[in-house]
Amino acid sequence: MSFTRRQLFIESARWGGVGAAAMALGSRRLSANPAEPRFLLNVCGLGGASIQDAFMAVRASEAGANAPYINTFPDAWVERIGPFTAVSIPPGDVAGFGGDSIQPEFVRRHGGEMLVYTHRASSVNHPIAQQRVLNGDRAWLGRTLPEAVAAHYGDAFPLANVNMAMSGFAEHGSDPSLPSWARAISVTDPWMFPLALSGHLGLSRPWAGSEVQRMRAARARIVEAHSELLRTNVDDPMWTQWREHRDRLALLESAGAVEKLNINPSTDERPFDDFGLPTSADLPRLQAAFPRLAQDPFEAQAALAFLLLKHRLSVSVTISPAPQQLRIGREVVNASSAFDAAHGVHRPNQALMWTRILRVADRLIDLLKAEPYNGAGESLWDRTVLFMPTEFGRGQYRPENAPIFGTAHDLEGAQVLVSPLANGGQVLGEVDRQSGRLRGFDPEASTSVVDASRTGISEKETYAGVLHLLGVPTPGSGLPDVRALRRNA
Amino acid sequence: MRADLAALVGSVARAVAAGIVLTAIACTEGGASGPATSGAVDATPDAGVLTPPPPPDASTEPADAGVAPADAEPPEVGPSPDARPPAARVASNLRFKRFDQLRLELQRVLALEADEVCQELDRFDCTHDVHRVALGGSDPYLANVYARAAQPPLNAPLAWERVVLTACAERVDRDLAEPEAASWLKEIEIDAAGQLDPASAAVETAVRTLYREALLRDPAEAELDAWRSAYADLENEAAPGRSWARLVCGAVLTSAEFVFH
Repeated sequence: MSFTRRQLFIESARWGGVGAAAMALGSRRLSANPAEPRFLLNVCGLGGASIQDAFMAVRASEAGANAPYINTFPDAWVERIGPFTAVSIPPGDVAGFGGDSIQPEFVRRHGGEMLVYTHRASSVNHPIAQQRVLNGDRAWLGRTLPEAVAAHYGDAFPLANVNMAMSGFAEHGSDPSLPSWARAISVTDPWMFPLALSGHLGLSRPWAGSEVQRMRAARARIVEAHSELLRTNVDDPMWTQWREHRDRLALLESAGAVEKLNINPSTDERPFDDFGLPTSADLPRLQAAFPRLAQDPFEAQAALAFLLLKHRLSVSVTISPAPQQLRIGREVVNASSAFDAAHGVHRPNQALMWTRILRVADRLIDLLKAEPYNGAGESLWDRTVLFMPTEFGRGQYRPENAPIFGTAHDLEGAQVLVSPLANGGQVLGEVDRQSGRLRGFDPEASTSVVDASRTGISEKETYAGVLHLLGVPTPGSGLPDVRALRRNA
Repeated sequence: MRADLAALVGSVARAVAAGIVLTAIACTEGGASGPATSGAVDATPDAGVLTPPPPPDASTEPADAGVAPADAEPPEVGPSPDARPPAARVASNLRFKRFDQLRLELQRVLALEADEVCQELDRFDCTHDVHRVALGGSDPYLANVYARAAQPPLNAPLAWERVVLTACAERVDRDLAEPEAASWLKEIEIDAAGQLDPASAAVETAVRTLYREALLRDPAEAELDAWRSAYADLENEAAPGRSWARLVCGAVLTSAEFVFH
């Protein structure tokens, strides 16, 4: 299933040169120095994304006699591009579902930087499995991946770790020694979130900035300096963290975060102009990239994620679609339960949700590629790992030739990474075309070596692999060296 | 699961031994913790006890790595179990009041109805909608955020300032507009130039009232003197009396002494 480097380069060039250029950049030595951060962008496949409905699909002709009983597609629906497959369901062919698939385009554009690998979850409970794919099943101090990345790179970033995701992907880690600024800031409404980044801008009962500064000074000098409660508990972690938060937030206010992150055009429903709140200068191009920005919270999350990275406010941002149906006009843009809508109707809902997260990922990648990181020709994308964690996979069996069928949760699944830093252009592990089941690979080999004795790497190995891809040192952690995920490892 | 149960039993035992009343757990939104974060009991400072850090991984994985990636510079000194900051080892006695308790107390202190406290863009409730999670709440039904943060989120101080400053502005403007119906600034005389007498008994009463209602204590003499002196810095303002009242209100109600108990 793997490509040699030379094959990959040829394939990348054939895909349009984008992959080849990215590969050249990816081979550059990048420092893991906290002063030269790498960025983690999680676009979560909430609900259980089936890789067999995307990049490891099985054609009916490949499955032989089992084709009617497992999740196989008519041959014409599955395009093979390099090591990946891409599924396009013709509109209307499955119970009226189906629509434009972005899968072939996504692979052509980003395949050279895309790594798909098989993964075995330890739970089929959504919130538990979601937590574990991000914390490696408590692989290192109970820190989540975003927390660990923020702790290493985020000291100079006012909002080091922003989490807009949901359910288990929104959970905090459990490491009490984590710096307070590395803990995730939960964002439940990407449109209104910027308001929480200033103590006074846009208040419905106005306060001048100088008045607020005077109030803060008086608070410290008069009230808190004479507080017996605070004096007695001066070392209490709560009070200590509160002071740290205040110091950090002063940086945030001086950085003009509200104006930079406001993605709201002023409307009758949300009259931001009436409260003196200007919108981001990037709003026009964000609206072009995310045309449903004003109605779709997932697109709004993506726009906010880009701005957080662009303005160096965050090093780790996590977004996810919601587990509720979203309809805009007559179009269903988010399946009820997201990928988990596959319980009742697997194929079209998986297709819908794959298109949804890949489209957002595609546009985020383009935005980040267009954003210079420094004056040396690096873009922000060159330092970013886009991870699409999903909690587990789906069962692959169906009634004979049924186009509409439901699937249960399955421990077997796969994860997708897209990054110039990743060992891209590969599928690690493989799908057994006779059964639809997945096979693992050797995580410590630098090229793909299928390991049929396992069905994918563990949550802990995923955790270690992604952290090391990002250059986060983990001394004394006991974490394995998952070289297979890293380019040039 | 067994280890989590043991940790829970241990935490309860330590808390009882310390004479701590655990009813606070039931009174706090989301106090039962979210859906099964492994080890969440230890991470939630609800027992008022020393919480030891979890042990380093004891699995049988082969040697760490400790890996810094092959293409990286020599590894930085990363966080490790032995490098925990002192804060992680200090017991926490203070509790953050969180969004619902904070708003209820603000309503009581400033005599405002719930929908008069703070509305972002004059439309969206600050504490229970826009800043609910920032102020330590969960939002399971609308945002699928099932577990609150164990500590106040980073943006909590700013979110709380927005709430308080809005509410204080409302209270002060109402009291000055209708002195006879004032609930806080009672009997404070403000002249046509917007001036008040900081040495007046009414001013001292206003400060004492706010401290007693909000902080459950009297202001120290030094604090009273400081508030009187603070007025001098405002005398060039367009409405110094109003500015002074907003200053006192905002400072007391955004103080850490008010948001913690």
